[in-house]
Amino acid sequence: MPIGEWIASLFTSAGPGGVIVVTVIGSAATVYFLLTRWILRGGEQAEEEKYRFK
Amino acid sequence: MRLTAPYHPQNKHEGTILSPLRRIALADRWLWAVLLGVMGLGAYAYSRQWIFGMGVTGLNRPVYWGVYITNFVFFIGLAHSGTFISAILRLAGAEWRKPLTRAAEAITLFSLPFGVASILIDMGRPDRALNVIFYGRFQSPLLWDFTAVSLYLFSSVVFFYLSLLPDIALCRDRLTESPLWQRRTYELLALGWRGRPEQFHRLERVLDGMAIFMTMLVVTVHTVVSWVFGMTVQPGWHTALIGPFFLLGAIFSGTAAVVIVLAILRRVYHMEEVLTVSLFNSLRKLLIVFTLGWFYMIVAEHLTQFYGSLPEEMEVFWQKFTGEFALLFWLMFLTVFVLPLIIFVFLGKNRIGWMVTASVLVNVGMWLERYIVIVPTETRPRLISTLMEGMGNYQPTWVEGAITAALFAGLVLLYAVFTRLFPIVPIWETAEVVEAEAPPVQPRRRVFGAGRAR
Repeated sequence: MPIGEWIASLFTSAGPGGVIVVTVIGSAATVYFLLTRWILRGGEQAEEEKYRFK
Repeated sequence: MRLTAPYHPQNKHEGTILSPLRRIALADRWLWAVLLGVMGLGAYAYSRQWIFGMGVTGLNRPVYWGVYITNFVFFIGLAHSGTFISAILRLAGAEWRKPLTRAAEAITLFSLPFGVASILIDMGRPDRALNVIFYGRFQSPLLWDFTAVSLYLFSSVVFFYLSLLPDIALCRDRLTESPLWQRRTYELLALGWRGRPEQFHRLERVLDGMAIFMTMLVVTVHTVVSWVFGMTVQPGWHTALIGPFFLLGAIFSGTAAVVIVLAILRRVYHMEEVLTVSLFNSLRKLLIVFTLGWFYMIVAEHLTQFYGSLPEEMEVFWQKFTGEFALLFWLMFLTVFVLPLIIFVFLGKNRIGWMVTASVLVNVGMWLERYIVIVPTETRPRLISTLMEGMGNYQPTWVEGAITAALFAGLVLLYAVFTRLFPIVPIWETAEVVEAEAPPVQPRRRVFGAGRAR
């Protein structure tokens, strides 16, 4: 299918618009989870190393 | 694994900022009780609407959007305050914003759910809300709206939570005399934050990155909200200007709301040394710009309509200027532009009382503005010839009034409770002293040449 028709079909077909909602919110949730974990792990390894050699 | 003791940046105002969290006064309980009472009244009104249908409201054919959608746009507008203060001013390197960021972000966080609730209330059949997901069509602005507002709400929660994280950990370690449930809550929400320098460094990086994303979202969300109107061919709505106009109005009312909230916090929690007069003066300058910007927008919109003179457009135009809605229109003009501009320019400098007066006027006027945008167009639609006898009128009922009061009471209640559980001024961001042996982070990353300005 030519890309023009494909894009047009997005705007003329019924549903499933929910795919957009779920994709956008799901992607955001994943990114935010990973970022939060990355922040919390900051300096963790250095702290572990510090006490391992004491 | 052995861990060092958690580190918290030193802030000379820490005691003042934490004092509201140490005990809940009797006056707080009374305030919460009154607000809950108002919410109860709203719940009763909604139960009437649920049982007897939308007939108990003033909504009718073709006026499907009245006070509820006015509330929706207003709450979403209020929600822009936090993003503007926190994200946009953060990117601009405006250091003075630091003490007021959380107060502004909290407005965002607590306004958005009531904006979403307004939509559900207006639907009459809220159980059908999920149809947007199951059967939504890509070409529907309602679907864009659903996506944008959901993402904005979600991102605002994360942005707010991340910037709160070091202070939750501080509450965990400082407020050891709090009730057990409160200490457990802090422990849980702190996610084991230790205050390591690398943690602060990463947090700053993420907040800076998210500030760019949030700035994009703030523009997108209110533009998409405006497109719910603008994508129809209704007179008064179908204009490319509606997006920027909505966005400016949102930031305007949101910033004015921040002034009101800051003044209340300053007075009630005795934060005169933290929330200084200079903060209000900085906000005053911004508000003068927004007032003039709003005037420019309203002139541009109506002048274009007037020169086009399309019959259906003029029907709505004259309704506002000289017709049925003239009183509300000119009252809006007075409260959004004339009085606030006089107060901000001539009376507001170093006078918080005047600033609050003007900000209240702005918010009353901005609510009226949303009403003026929505209702006159609905009472005089493009296909006006299809209106039958008695159609094209709208008079809100007590049900809509009670539900509106309940929504505002809910917003105030959430805010009031929050200020008693979490520091409303960011302690770590306003910290002035860092320990030499464990510096947590530079006070602020240099963004867009902010460092050069010093």
